[in-house]
Order: sequence, then C-alpha cells, then structure tokens
Amino acid sequence: MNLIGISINHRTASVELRESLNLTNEEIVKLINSLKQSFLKEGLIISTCNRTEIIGIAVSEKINFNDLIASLINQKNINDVSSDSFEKFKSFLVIEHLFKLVTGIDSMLIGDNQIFKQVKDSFRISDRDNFIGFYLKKIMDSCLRIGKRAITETAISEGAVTVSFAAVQLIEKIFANLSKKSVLVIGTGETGEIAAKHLRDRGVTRLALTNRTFEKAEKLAKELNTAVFPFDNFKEHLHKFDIIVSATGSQNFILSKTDIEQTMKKRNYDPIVIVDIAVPRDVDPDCRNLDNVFYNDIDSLNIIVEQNLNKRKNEIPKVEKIISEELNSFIE
Amino acid sequence: MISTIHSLNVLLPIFYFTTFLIYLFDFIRENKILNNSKRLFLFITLCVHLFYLLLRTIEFDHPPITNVFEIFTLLAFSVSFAYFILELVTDIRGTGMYIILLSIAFQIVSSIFIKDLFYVREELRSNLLGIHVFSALIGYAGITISAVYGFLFLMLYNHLKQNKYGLLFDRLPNLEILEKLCFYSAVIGFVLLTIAIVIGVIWLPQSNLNFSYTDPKLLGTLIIWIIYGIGIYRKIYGNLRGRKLVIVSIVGFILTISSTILSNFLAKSFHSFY
Repeated sequence: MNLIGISINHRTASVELRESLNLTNEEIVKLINSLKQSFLKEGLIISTCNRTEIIGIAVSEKINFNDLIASLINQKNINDVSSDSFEKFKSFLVIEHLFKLVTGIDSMLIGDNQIFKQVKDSFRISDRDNFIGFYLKKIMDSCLRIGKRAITETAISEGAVTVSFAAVQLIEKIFANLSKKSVLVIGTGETGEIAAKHLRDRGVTRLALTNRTFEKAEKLAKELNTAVFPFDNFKEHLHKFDIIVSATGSQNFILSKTDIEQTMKKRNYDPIVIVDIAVPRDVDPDCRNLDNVFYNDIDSLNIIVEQNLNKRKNEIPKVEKIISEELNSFIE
Repeated sequence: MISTIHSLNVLLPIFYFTTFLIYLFDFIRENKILNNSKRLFLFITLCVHLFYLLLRTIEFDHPPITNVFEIFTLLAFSVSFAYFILELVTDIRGTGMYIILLSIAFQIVSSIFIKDLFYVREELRSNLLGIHVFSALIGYAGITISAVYGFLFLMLYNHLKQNKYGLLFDRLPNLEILEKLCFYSAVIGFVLLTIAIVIGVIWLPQSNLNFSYTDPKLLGTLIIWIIYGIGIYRKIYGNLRGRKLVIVSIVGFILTISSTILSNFLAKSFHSFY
C-alpha cells in the first residue's frame, strides 16, 4: 500500500495562502478526476477554512509529494507557493495524521469536532466519485470509530472555546432554560450577527435586535425572524430582556450604570445578564456591582475560553492513547 | 441487640463520611464510575441508618424522638433521605456532598451524646406526638436543605460576579435551579412546620400539664415560621428573589438551629426531655 499525503494548514501557512487554496465541492470533484487519471488509485480531499489536504494511494512508487502539490496549485491557478508550506506524510504516518485530524487534536481550536463532520463529508464526496477503495474505506472506518471514542471517552471537545460559546456557557450558569428567556442584541455588525445567530441556534426564541442603522438590523431581523427596535428608543424596552448582548462600534458607553439601575427597578430586580463583547466596551462595567446584574466583557469571556482550552490540552494524552491503540489494531 | 445498636452508633458517622468522600471525589474529578455508584453508597448508608432507627425503636420501645440527640440522628437521616429523593427526582448530582456534610455533623453529635433510654414519659409514646415530631423533623430537613442550596447559590453568585470560573462554576447547577431548589425546600419545610405547630398547639395542652404558650421552643418556632411565611409571601407576591431570597433562607436556618439549641439546652421548656 503506497499511502501518501500532503497538508497545508494553520501551522504551515498564512490565512491568505490557506484561503487561496481552499476548494469548493465542485473544485474537489474536478481535482478528484484529475488525480484519478494520473496519480492516485484511491483518495480523499479535505478542504476547510484551516486546511486543504490530499491523501491517497499512489498509482506507482514514482508518484511523489510534488505531484500532489502541483495538482492542487494547478487546480487553483496560483503561483509562488512553496513546497515548504506543506506537511508531507507517507505510509502509516498518513493514517496517524488522519486519526489525529478526526479527534480534533490537530485543529487550531483543540478538540474542535467540526473537523470530524468535515472529514466524513469529504469521504462521502470521494466515495460518490468512486475514489474510495478497500484501503481508504478501512482507514475511514477506523477514523469514524476513533472520532467517536475521542468524544465519548475523553473531554477533548468539552467546554466553550470561542467567545460566543463562552457567553452561552456563562448565561447557562445563570438561567435554566434559554428558550424561555428574551434576548436583545445591540449592534448588528459581524460580531453581533454571529452572537444573534448563535443564540438562535441555542434555542433562544424571544430575540430582538437594535442597531444604529435601522435597515441593517431590519435585514438581519428578517433573516432570523426576530423583532427589531429603533436604536433611538431601545433603552425604553431594556427591562423586557433577560439577556443583553452588546456589540456596537461605539467609542463611548451606550448604557450607563444609571440606565441599568432604572432597568432593574422596572424588572422588579429579576436577574439580568449583560454580555458586552464590544471593544471599546458599550456598557459601564460598574453596573456589575448592582444586585442580580451579571456583567461580562470580552476579557471575562476570554478567561472561560482559556480555561477550557487548557482543559482540552490536558486531554490530549488520553486521545493519543486511543490513537495509539487504534493504530496498533489497524496494523495487526 | 444493644451491642448492634452501639456498633451502628459508631459506624453511622463512618458510613456518612465515606459517602461524603465519594461525593467529594466525584465533585472534584467528575469520575463516570463514581457518578453512578455514589448514589448507591448513599442508599446503603440510608438503609443502615433506617435499620438502626428501627432497632432503637424496638429495643427501647419508643420512636427515637424523645430527646435532642435522638432527634439529631433522625434529622441526619431526614436530611440525607430528602436529598436522596431530590437527587432522584431532579437528577442534579453535583450538590450532594454539601448536604451530606450536615448529616455527618448531626450524626456525630448524636453518636457521641445519645443514651440508651428504656424509660420515657408516657406521653412520649403517643402517636399524635409521633406525627408532630415527624412533621417537624421533615420541616427542619426542608429548611436545612433550603439553606444549603441558598449557601451554594451565594457561592456561585459571588464567583460569577467576580468572574471566577473554577470548580464551582463547572460543577454546580445554574443559579435559577439553585434558587428554585432553595425556595421549594423552604416551602416544604414551612408546610410541615405548620402542620407540626398546629398539632402541637391543639393537642399538646391537653396531654401535657406543663404546656405553656410562652414556651421558648414554641415561641422560637413561631418566629421561624413567621420569617419563612413572610419570605414565601414576598417571593410569590413581592420582589424577594435571587440573593435576597436565599439570604432569608440562610438566616431562617441559623435561627432554627439557634432556637433548637437555646430551647433544649439553656431554657426550661416542656420540650426538654433530658
């Protein structure tokens, strides 16, 4: 079995270069056809925002890494890409690399299990195009088993490792049921939009938006099917919300401690969570001293992210043990 | 039988302590095997304790309600039993060690000071008294558990306010659930305390010649009952919630303990049987 693999990823290349070599599904299909003709008997092409990889069984001993790199570069019509920007694997190192990949320990965000799904999708495309044979099928079966073992037997994917997930983790430590809570997202720029979509995905049904440019908020509100308030008078509605996520580009506080005090009075002092992910901050941090006000800014959310990343790092030896066990049983 | 009772008297604090250690270890390490088996350990401890209580009842020919140290062992059992049911119903498993800690305290005090009482006053063998004491005890267990959840609420509340995201943040249920557990435990405590007071006030004057409406235990219980009553009313109809609510529960618990100690040890009361 002449296994061979190349990978351009977050360790080897800049985001610009990774972006330029990112493949759409159509491009993957084209590349499969080109590789099938001259280089690989079986193969798998993985392309995500953090990596593009070609893995397969070479048609002959003469096929080398540069052939695969050249195929990829030709596909994207890009010049000046050095072979040094690629990691290269042969034989069982290819399998070990794939095993590490599906468990998430090779990801930029350690334990990110999205890669598990992405590898499965890549396998499906190759299988559909008859690019998967006996050996890759066997490797993929092991990959699927290892990916599942890593999730169930270790804590490699546990805990929030992005700011928006950390915000949700924090909110869930205060409120029992997000679907019963109302949320106001102030600012519908990129950060606000991600937060709003993320909260919607987590089951928040009573979501409202406000933005200085009303049309922008309206557009996102239509997409997410939510209410929208004019920015000029959103403070009048503040007391109706259990969670406030603020992500505007304002240079000054848009909510003072007094605003929050008045809101709490109107809320009959029911707890409120304020997630201020704007830089510079939107809400006066002094409001955290008010009873039943849970104020969190980007720094406090980053503490959660850092802690969870460290916990995940501590799980790597356990995942490596699983990989080693599976690799041994694969060789046998 | 006496020797078995004496052995169990020594063993019970050890049983509770072992169960506490298992809960503590699971709280720190989150061990999947312990997470399931710790409930079994608690169940075994409760079975042993129940066996001990039954042996005492049979051997001494009265339910173990006749003095404060018998009450303490019953309270240790009630608190852990109430928690056991709560854990089964809610499947919230991260708070057990805090509750069991109280059972350990009650049981240790009881084990050290409890005596073999063969002869008790005739009125202490009454069934109605049994209901009175039983409802009071479950009421106290409710109050105790409410205070523990209140305390856990305060700890998590302060950690969240100070952006501390350690073990308590990871393991404890969220504030809303802790507040609910605190409130509902207090409501159960209040209702049962009400039953105990009603039975006590109606029946005891007829059966006890020393009964007095100015009895310190009665007055203390009445004050506690009023505090919890006001707290529950203000939670439902007013704005008592969150931190303030759990503080009321904790203050109520401290007063309950103080009232029990003062009326049993310091003041002369028809409730004192030693």
